Amino acid sequence: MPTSDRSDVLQGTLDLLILRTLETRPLHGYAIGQQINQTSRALLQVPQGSLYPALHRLEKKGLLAAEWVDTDEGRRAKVYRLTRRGYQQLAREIADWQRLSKAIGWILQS
Amino acid sequence: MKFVPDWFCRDRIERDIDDELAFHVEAHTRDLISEGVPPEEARRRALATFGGMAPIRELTRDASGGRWLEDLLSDLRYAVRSFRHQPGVTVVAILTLTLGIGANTAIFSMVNGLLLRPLPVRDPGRLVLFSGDASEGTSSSTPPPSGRWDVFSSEAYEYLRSRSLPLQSIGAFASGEQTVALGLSGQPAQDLRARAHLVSGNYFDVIGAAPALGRMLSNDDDRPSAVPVAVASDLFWRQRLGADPAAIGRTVTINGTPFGIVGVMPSEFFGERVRRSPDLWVPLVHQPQVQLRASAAARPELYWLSLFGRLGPRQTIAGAQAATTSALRQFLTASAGAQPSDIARERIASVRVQMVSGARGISVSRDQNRELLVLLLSAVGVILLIACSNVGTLFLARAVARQREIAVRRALGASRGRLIRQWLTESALLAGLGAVGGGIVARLAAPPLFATFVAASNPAKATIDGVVLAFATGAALLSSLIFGLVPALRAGAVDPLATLRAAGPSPSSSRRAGTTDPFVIAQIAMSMMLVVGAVLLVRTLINLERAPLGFDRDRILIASLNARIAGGLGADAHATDARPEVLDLWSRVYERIRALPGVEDATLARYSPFNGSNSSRSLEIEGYVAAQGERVSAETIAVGGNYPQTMGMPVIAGRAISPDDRPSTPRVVVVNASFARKYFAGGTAVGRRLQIRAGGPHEIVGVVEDARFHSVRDAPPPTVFLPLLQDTYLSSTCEVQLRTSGNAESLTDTVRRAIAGVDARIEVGRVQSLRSQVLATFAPERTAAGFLVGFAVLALLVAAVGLYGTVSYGIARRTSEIGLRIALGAARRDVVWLVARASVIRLASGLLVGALLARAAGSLVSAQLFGVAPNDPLSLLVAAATLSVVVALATVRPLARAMRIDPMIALRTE
Repeated sequence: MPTSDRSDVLQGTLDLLILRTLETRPLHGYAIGQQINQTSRALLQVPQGSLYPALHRLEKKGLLAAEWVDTDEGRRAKVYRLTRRGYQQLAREIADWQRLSKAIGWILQS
Repeated sequence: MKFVPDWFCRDRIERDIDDELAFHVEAHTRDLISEGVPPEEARRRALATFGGMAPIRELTRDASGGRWLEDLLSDLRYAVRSFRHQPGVTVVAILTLTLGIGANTAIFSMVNGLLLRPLPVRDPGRLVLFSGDASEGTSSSTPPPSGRWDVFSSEAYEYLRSRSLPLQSIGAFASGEQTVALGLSGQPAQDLRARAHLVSGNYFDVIGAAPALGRMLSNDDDRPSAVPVAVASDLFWRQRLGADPAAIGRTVTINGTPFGIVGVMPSEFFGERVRRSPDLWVPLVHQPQVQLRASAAARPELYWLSLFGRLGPRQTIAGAQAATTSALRQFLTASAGAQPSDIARERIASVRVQMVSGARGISVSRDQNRELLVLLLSAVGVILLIACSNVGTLFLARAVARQREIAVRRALGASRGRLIRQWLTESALLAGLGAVGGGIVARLAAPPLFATFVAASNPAKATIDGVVLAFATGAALLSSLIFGLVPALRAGAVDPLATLRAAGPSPSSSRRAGTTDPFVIAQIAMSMMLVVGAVLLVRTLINLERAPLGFDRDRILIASLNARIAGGLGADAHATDARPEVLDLWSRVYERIRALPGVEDATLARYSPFNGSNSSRSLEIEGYVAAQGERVSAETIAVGGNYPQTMGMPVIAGRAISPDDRPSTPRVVVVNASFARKYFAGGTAVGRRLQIRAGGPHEIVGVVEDARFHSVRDAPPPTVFLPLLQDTYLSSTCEVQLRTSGNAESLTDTVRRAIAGVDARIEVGRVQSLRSQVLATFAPERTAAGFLVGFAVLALLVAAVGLYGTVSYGIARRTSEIGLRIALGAARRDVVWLVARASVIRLASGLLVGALLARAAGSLVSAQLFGVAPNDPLSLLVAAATLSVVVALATVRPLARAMRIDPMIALRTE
């Protein structure tokens, strides 16, 4: 699989991406990974190995809440959604990220 | 909302993670199939993107915090494995901790039993005693004129009860129990006795107790017209009433008066005093029948009641004390008449009531042993510290030996905190095992040790209860921190690269291994402190036993006699009027014992030295003007003829009491030198006269040298010796004292037979040598010395084991170095010095620090010492010598091993 035009998600930005993905609707883990993949036009690949630990960490921090739902196939799926604190955190992280990327953009253009 | 910590439902968490991951794989597989990938291949690829399920599952579980218990268990497993590797070290460590924690738990269970445990009543914390020191009360017919009141008259009690004081209730009890003649209905008359306690009708309500059977006393039982009733103790009910549930309603007679039993108290109840429970509780109103005396209620000058109360909610001791004090002053002002004198007003203004918490009741043994127990607790605390430093040494040695293993774990990614936790888990496990062992040691050791303080009949027991268990656990946790933290921090600080790069222990690390030294020095220093303490207390005991008392204690035999029945006094043991029968009896006893073979001299006395009795009376001395507020008094002892000769007390002036001083002859006394000094300022005492009580004057006919009759420590008080056979208050009890020509106690049977020969009805109590009676009074000091010697030996043992281990370990580490030196031609002497030097330095520093510590701790024992100063140089020297010997012994064997080192073998192992 060619990886030269793809990046692994930057350390520390995975949380931001998860929060952003869940901003509009609740999703289960697999869907979160797929969504990030598609929205980034397949430029970003979420390593499966870090997705679930990140989800559990965010849940433990109280930024996400989870709920088990039964799927049509008779399986149990764990669906995550943002909590109120999750929304606040997302707003903060977006602001941080924009500040950071602006700064890096200036440095790169100078 | 989570109500249960995560690690409680660890299984559920794992199942959830598995389900979640399985769902992911399935969803992925389905997507792949829909893209046209064959099902088998789709599933393989879905799984492959995970790069293996297990690590993800682990990481995920870590993130959700389910690791805690898992880690602890794995740490414990690891700890057990590493302990199994070194069974010797582990056993020594556990034994050391067992001794340290066991000794502490044992002593603490005694402290808990005697000093801390509350009365077994409802809400004991609300009880207050109207007495400044919560010690055993006494009754007194001289009014407490001023200052603090500890005992009260019936009138004062009734007045205080009638006032609305900030107390829920006020109760009263007689300041002492009464031994009474007991009769049981339906049983033949026997000479039964019982201990009756006079209490107010509301006593049980105030103290907060409920009966096991029947009912308690009520205020109605305590009215003059009330039918006499009593409440029985559990023991009395079992022993005298046959544990009969129908015993309620039965009648017993107390000194001939019938009393109905209305209730039985539960077995754990013993009343307000922590000692053997009274047999019967009787309302105060029956005091004349119980005490066989005139009614105390009618005598305002008789102070015989101790008061206590129960605080209501939001009431405090301070508030109750202030209100009661002012109420008592009002009572005194009202009874002082319309025009009290200035002196009387001043006196009333000085009167006060002092209240203390009654939560733990009144306990004489507690007051007597408090200081000693605190001393012992400090001593065992030091032993625990020694044990901890010992185990700390072992742990440090292990830390050095395991440096490579730690480095490997660090290199494999174990965090510093994780390693420190691993080490602390190991020390906590060790301390936990030590605590279990210590608990067993304490359980076995505490009761017999406690028996040296408190009689078996006392309800105070050194049992292992929740408080004691909490203490033991705390001690174990604390010790695991003390001995585990330093090695743990060092383990965390190991630099994996440097350690793994070095082939063997690197030079820097082997030098750092020398840091066990502070632990070893601490052990020597603390042992030194305990040994000094032990030496001081042993020397105190020797000094006490050797102190001159002013009388001979060897070769003197004493026997206590009671002529209650022989003198025709019947059940009324308290009659103290002179009876011709008693006088005659004592005269005949006196003649008979003097004639016994093997008896050099003999005399009679109201009481003998150091038997616990003391009688003091107010006097008027002709020609002596008392200072303002001075109470002229002296100890008064009635004695028979030849008293000074028998006791070996020199007569300084005049003559001794003679057997011919009789009721018909002029009344005489002999005084001691202190008396002459105090009241005649060194002038002639013989020929002066003094008056005791209301009787006629006595002429002083002689002066004898001072003797210590009660305490080795206190100066002898002014003393007056009265002729026993002339005393108008002749008592039905008396002691014979014989000076024997040989071994005093060999005459025991002879004396018993001789007394029986005079009158078989004379009850002969204890017969023993005066020497053993005196020695018995040093029991507390002997207990203290015995305990401290035991602790010092324990400390030395533990320290010796620790030192032995350290020295052996040091030699083991330097085997190759020593081998090299020998190979290069070093003399054996040099090798010895090489090894011994470290011990000598440790010993010297330990002794120095120990001497300083002992000096600092000196104040703790100074109250217990006699004839020796806390910083006594000789004691320090003895202790230093003892420790030197122990250190030498601990060094000798490893040293011998060092000398046998074969350079060839030593170098080859490198």
